[in-house]
Amino acid sequence: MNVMQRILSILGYTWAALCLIVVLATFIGLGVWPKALAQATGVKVSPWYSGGEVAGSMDHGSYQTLVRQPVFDGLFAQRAEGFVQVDWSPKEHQALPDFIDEELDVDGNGTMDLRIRVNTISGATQLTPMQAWVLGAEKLAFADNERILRIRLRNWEN
Amino acid sequence: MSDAAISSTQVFPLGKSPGKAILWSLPMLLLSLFMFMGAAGVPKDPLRMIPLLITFALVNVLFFLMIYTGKTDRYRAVFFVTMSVLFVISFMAHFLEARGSMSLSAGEMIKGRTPFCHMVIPMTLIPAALTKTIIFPGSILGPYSIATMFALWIGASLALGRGFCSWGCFFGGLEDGFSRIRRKPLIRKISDRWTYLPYAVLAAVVLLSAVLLSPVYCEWLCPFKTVTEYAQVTSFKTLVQVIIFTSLFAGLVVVLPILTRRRTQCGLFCPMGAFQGFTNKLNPFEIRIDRAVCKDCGKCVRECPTFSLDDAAVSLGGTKLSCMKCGKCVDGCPTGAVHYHVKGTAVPASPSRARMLFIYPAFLFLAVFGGSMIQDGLYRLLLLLTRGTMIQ
Repeated sequence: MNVMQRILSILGYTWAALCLIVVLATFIGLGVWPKALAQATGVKVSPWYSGGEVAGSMDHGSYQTLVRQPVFDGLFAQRAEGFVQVDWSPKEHQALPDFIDEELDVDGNGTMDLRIRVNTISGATQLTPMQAWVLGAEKLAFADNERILRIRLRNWEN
Repeated sequence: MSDAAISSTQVFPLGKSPGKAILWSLPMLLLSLFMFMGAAGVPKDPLRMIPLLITFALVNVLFFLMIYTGKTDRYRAVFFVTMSVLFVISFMAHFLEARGSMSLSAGEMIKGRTPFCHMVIPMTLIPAALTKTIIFPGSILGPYSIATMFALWIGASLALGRGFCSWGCFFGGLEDGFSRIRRKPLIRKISDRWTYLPYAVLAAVVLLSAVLLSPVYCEWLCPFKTVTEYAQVTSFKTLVQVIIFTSLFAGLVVVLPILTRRRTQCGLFCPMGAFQGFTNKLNPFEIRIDRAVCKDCGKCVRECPTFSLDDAAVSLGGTKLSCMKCGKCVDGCPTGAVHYHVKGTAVPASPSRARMLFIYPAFLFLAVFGGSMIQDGLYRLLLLLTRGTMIQ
C-alpha cells in the first residue's frame, strides 16, 4: 500500500467513524439544532399557509378581530391574486358572539374595503365588497374557539 | 469449494463466537441504554415501562444477532417493519386523541398543526432559498416541527446518505414488510426505464411546488396520506385527492411490493428517495462488489429491493446512486463478493470492518428514531388491551 492509499484509507475510516458521532450528536442535540437551524436560516412558514403577519387588530370587548397583511407573495414577484386573512378570537374565558358584522379596511388606507357578516355557529358568511378588487370569501375555518376567514383579493398594485 | 464453504470463510468473521459477538454488541447496549433511559430514567407507569423494556430488548437482541450471524438486512428489516407498523398506530392514536379524526381541517392547517415529514423536504428548498419561507402548513419549532425534521434529516444524510430510506424512513418499512410476504415474486421483470421515474417525479414536484408555492407531492401524490393525515373531504377536489392517495398506497405500497418482492414506491416513485440518493455522495459508506470473487450469478440484481443493481453496475463493481444500503444484496451474495465499503479504502479492504463502521451509526439511528415510535405504538396497544381504547 503506497503512502497516498494509506492516507486515503485513514481519512476514509476517520470519516466513517465520525458518522457515529454525527448520529449521537443529532439526537442528543435535538433540543438545540432545530432552534439553531431556524435562527441561522431565518425561515418562516409561508404566509400562504400561516395567513401572514398581523397588520391590525380591533378590540370588541369579549373578542378581538385580527386583520393580517394581504398575501400576494410569489416566487419572484407578487401575484395577481391573493387573499387577506381575518381572525376572530375570544378573550380568555369568553366566547365569540353568534353573529359578527364588521366593516374592514384591509389595505390600511383608512377607508373601508369590505363588509363581512359571519355566523360563528354555522360557519355561514356573507361578504359585501366595497372595492372592485375584493373578489370573494373562502369557507370559514374553525380552529378551537377561533374563526378564521380568508377573503380573496385581486392585487391592486398590478 | 462450494458456495456455502466460500460464504462461511469469506463473509464477516466477527461473529460465530457468541463471546466476541457479545463484546461487539456491548457498545450498542450502553448507547441504547443512554439514549432510551439517560434523561428520564425508567417510567413508573407499567404501561409506559413495559414498551420501553420491550423496545430496549428488541434493539439489543436484533443487534446481537446482526453481529453474531453476519446478516444485516434480516434483522434490520424486523426492526424497520415493526417501527413503521407501530408508527402508524401511534400516529393515528395521537391524531384521534388531539382531533377526534384522521383528517385535517382548514383551521388546523392555518394554525400550523400539520406534522412535517421528510417527504416534503425537496419541495421546500427552492422557495426557502428564494422567499425565506417554508411552503408547508406546519410550525417551524415544536413537536413534529419543520426544523426538527430538517435537523434529523441533515444528521441522517451525513451519517447514512440514502441509507436513511432503509434505516430511518418510517414509511419505507410498510412496503418493506409487504415485499416480504411472498417467498417468490410473481412479477420478475420490470424494465430499467421505470427506475428513472422517481427522478422525473422529483423534478416535476420540485419545480411545480416552487412555482405554485405549495407542496404538490403532499397535496396530490403522497401514498402515505392513507395511513397518516389527509385534508378533510369538503369538496370534489379533496375527494379526488383522497382517491389518489389511497390508490397509490394500494398499488405502490401494498400490491406491487407483494407481487414483485421489491420496494416499488421507494424504487420507482418516491421523489424524496431520488433526492436522498444524491446524499450518498456526502457519505463514506457504499456497497461494492469484489469482481475477483463475483461469479456473476445475478442474485444481487434480483434481490435488490430498489432496483439499484443491474448487470452494468455489477460489472463496474458498485451500485447505482439509488442504493439504500439495506444489506439485502450483502446477505444474499453466495460468494461474499458484495460488501459494505468505506470510500477511500481499497476493495476489498476488510469488509467486516466497513460493515461494523456502517451498522453502528445506522442501527443506532434506527433504534433511537424508531424506538420512540415502537414504544408509543406498544403503549397504545397496551392501552387498547387494558382499557379498551388507544386514546388517553
